[in-house]
Amino acid sequence: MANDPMHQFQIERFAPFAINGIDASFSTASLFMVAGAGLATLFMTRAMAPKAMAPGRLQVAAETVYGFIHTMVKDTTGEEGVKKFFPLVFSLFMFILMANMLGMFPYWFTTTSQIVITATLALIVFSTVLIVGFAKNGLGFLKLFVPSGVPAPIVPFVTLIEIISFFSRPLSHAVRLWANIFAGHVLLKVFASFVPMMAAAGFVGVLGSVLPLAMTVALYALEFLVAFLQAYVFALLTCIYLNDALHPGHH
Amino acid sequence: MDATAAAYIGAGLACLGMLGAAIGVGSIFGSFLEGAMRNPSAAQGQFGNLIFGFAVTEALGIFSLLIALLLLFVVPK
Amino acid sequence: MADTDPPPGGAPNDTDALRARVEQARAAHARKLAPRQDTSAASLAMRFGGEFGAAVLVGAGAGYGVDYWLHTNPWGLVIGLTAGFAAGVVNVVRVARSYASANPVDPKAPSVPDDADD
Repeated sequence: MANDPMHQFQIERFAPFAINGIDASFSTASLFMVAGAGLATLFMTRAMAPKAMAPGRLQVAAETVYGFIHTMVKDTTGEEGVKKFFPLVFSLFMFILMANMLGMFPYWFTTTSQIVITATLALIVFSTVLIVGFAKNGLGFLKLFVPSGVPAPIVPFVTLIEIISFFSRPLSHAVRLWANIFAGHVLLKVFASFVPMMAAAGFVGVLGSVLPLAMTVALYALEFLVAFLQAYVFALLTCIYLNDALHPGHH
Repeated sequence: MDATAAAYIGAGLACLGMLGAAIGVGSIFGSFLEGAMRNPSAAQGQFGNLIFGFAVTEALGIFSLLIALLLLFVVPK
Repeated sequence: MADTDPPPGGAPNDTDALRARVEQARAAHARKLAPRQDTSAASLAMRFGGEFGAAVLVGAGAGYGVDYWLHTNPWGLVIGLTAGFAAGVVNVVRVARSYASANPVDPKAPSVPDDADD
């Protein structure tokens, strides 16, 4: 189906392969994840290879991205957060950005439009928060769930609410990225498929098909913004969540 | 009609209750915006009342969602 | 700001002064460049909805799980959904607070006394 807006999200297995009945084949999704990670690595290593005092264009681009994320991590988690989490946040940001941008090529696959992948990324962040929180604060991390200054009788209720709020984070974290990218790509495909549909309707249709085409171009620009913004928002929320692991009890 | 079908129909009907919550939430935020447009500097002070009204209204919607979920997952069929 | 201070020990010389100025200029530039968080109202609305819905789903799911394992039908679902709803409201309040503190109200915003225009 050429006009099926869901067709673009289909995963093809290149090399069927399973471990204990769990499908672990190398697929389109794997290919574009490798491509995204590879592109991010290539970009950073190639751009920074000259290590020039007066940087060239590529180096300026790499340094800008680096400085941008560095400032964000420092502002939200402080110096300690930069030491502990900057590599993680920067890798996540670069990977999501590259995956989103690769997905902007027509007929290419967008890895972040699969909820499995965004959920995995969100769970990486979530388990990092748990592990670092307990490793650094011990049981003091549980103070996160008991806000100070709450009257004793309602503490159990507030704690229950805080726990649910805490566990809702990976869900909203994953769904936000996935839904934005997924909905954007479906919308693009729907508007793009209007063009041949209208053009098939004769001369008036060909003239009229300019409208959905213009809409597609405008949406494409918007999707580039969304692709960057969602990578940024994902990294920003990662920082906010990681900050809780370092300083539980400060809301 | 067998009980399962009745439970599913009931769940669907229960979801209609959320319509009321939707109208209520829309009305609350609409009224808040109306007031905030008239007097923007006082809007921040009414934020607590806004959230309180939203919570109370949405709670009624959650009740109907609860009934729907109970019919779907808890009532023995 | 901490990093604009001259390094401790050793008299501040020209290099340090220059470094301080560069840092200052960089900070000012960064503040100007920093993107406003969640620029569009639609993305803010999606965040509100997402945070609220996620908490309700997690609460109801946890309650259903408790019911399933402990056979406490239907109380787990009832309490879980209620607590999930409350957690959702808390989430929304937190997002709104962070948004409000990032975008403070203009103190010069006009204040019209009520009924002045009726």
